[in-house]
Amino acid sequence: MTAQQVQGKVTELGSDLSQPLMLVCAEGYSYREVSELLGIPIGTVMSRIHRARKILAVGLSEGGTSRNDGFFDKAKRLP
Amino acid sequence: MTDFSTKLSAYLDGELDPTTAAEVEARLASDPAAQVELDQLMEIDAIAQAQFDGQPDDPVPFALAQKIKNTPLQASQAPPRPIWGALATSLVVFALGGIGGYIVKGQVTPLVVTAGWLADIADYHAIYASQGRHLVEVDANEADHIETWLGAMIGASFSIPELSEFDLTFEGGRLLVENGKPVAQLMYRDADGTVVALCLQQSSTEATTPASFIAQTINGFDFVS
Repeated sequence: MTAQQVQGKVTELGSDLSQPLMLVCAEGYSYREVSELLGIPIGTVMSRIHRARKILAVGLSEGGTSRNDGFFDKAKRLP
Repeated sequence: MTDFSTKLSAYLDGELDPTTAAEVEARLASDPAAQVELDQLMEIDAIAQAQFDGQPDDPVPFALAQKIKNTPLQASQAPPRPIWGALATSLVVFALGGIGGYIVKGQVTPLVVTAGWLADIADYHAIYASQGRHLVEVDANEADHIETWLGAMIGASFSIPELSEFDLTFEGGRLLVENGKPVAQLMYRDADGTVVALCLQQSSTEATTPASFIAQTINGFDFVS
């Protein structure tokens, strides 16, 4: 899977999910900081980030292979 | 999605209180499936992180830089001013400065569609550029925050271009909304006090061909697109 394809999957998350994920995972902001920045409760930040990870796992698994053979098959089994 | 699954995600981010974190660690120690799930979440982060990390370091397109540097400026009330643009995938990028000036638009959105709201942006700029102390919402000394904040708002990471070689000093940023979507506006000022704005907005489509640039004039503005 190319970087562009990965970016496409991230974009498909929608801003509600991709923004918290980007701020925490890429920029290192805390949940509280993201909560203040986006004006949403911390619990919502937590749930959105987790939903983003889950959706990303499934989306990427449908789009191609990962650098870790078998990873996306396992990701599909995430509860 | 189970509650434990969500906690695992928060644990990965170091966001659990000590008691809850200890509970999660105990579960991880006794439940191999939980450890597998944590590993999977970490792997997802690594993939996403690699993508995010790649974006801010994308170079400014050479063709755009050359075109801007080589495009003659119109004679006007305002002194000549250099303009710069930076492109990231799926971003519309344009710059404008003072009276007239330039608008630089990136790659994907048809010009005929964008011309109307670009004119609105120009109107905003005419007002904001006249502001002294209140030129920006967030000052340049919080550049990291500007990148994070505005990047989150427009839905794409970017780095603030360094334009000192054009005698432009970064002043800060502000958030605009145009065409129904957020616009990140980065403000620069030259030695004469002329304000130049670099604006970024996420486009609705992906670029399918390498960027190339042409110059034209629409509604009194010189576009490099």
